[in-house]
Amino acid sequence: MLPWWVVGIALALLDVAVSITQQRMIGASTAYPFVAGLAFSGLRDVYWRLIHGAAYWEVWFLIGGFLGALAVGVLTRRGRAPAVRTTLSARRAAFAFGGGFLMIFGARMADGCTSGHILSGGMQLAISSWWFAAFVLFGGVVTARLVYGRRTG
Amino acid sequence: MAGLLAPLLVGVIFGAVMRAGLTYRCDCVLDGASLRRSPLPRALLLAIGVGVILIHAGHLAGLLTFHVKAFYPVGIALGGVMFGGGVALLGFCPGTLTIALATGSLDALLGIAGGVLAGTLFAGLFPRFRDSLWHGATYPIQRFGPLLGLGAGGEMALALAVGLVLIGAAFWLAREARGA
Repeated sequence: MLPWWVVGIALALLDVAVSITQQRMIGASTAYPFVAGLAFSGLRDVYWRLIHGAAYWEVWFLIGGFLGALAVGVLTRRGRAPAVRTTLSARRAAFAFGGGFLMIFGARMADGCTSGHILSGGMQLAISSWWFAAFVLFGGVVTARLVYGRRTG
Repeated sequence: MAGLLAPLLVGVIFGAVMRAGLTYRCDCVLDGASLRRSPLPRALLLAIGVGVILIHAGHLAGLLTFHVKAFYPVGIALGGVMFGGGVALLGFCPGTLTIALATGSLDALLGIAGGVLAGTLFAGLFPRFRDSLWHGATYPIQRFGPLLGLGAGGEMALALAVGLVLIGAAFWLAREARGA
């Protein structure tokens, strides 16, 4: 598989290329409320109009992500890579659904996620993004310690 | 139609690279000990380190403009803690969920469902959130360079320094991973 440093350099080059050619940077989290608006016309109000332009880009970006990952899986004949957990217990299902909920609600409160804030904002030395990253690390580590306990392996 | 081709292509490259590097999983957050072993933290550090130098060089050369998000410390801090907690529970980020879905992850499917529900709720609450104490004041400062009173050359020097530190940190994590 691809070494980590190739992934790092490729991500940097890709985001800079997007900045030059698309007059924006990589981001993902507006896609989720946008999809909600597609499903329920009643939601197409203030927030929908605010995120519409960015969200359209991000929905297609995420669809591309699915296709790119699928292509690599098929080409390497490893379509089914192990997920975070291989069996989905009721607890794991609740964590996945609840985690997805918290993650997107938090991302929309903060106006960005790992790609929009930490990667894209981080490389622009944006104060909002470095501030966000610090609190993400805090929330992630505290939650992991509380929920999964202190592990060594 | 043309408008969707660029993000689709960027997404395909992003998805292929992240899938091939096995860097779409945020399980490093689930388990502090694997912060060293997981390839994601060091790949992300390296991407930001290389990117901070390239993006500032590109700006200096007049090739691009900055696209920075507004700074409202209260809302971003609260959202950041929720986001970090959510990622720790789920194990993926918003951008890597569809990549995980392509590997057949049921976790990712449930995460997407939870995310769309959160998006639905947030869209409804947004007008009240924007004017609330939970959002707080927005400050006009955007980037560290202007905050420190740096000119274009100074900002480039800052970017070089930060970039080199982040690149160094990424390779240090990689060395630690070999020793772990």
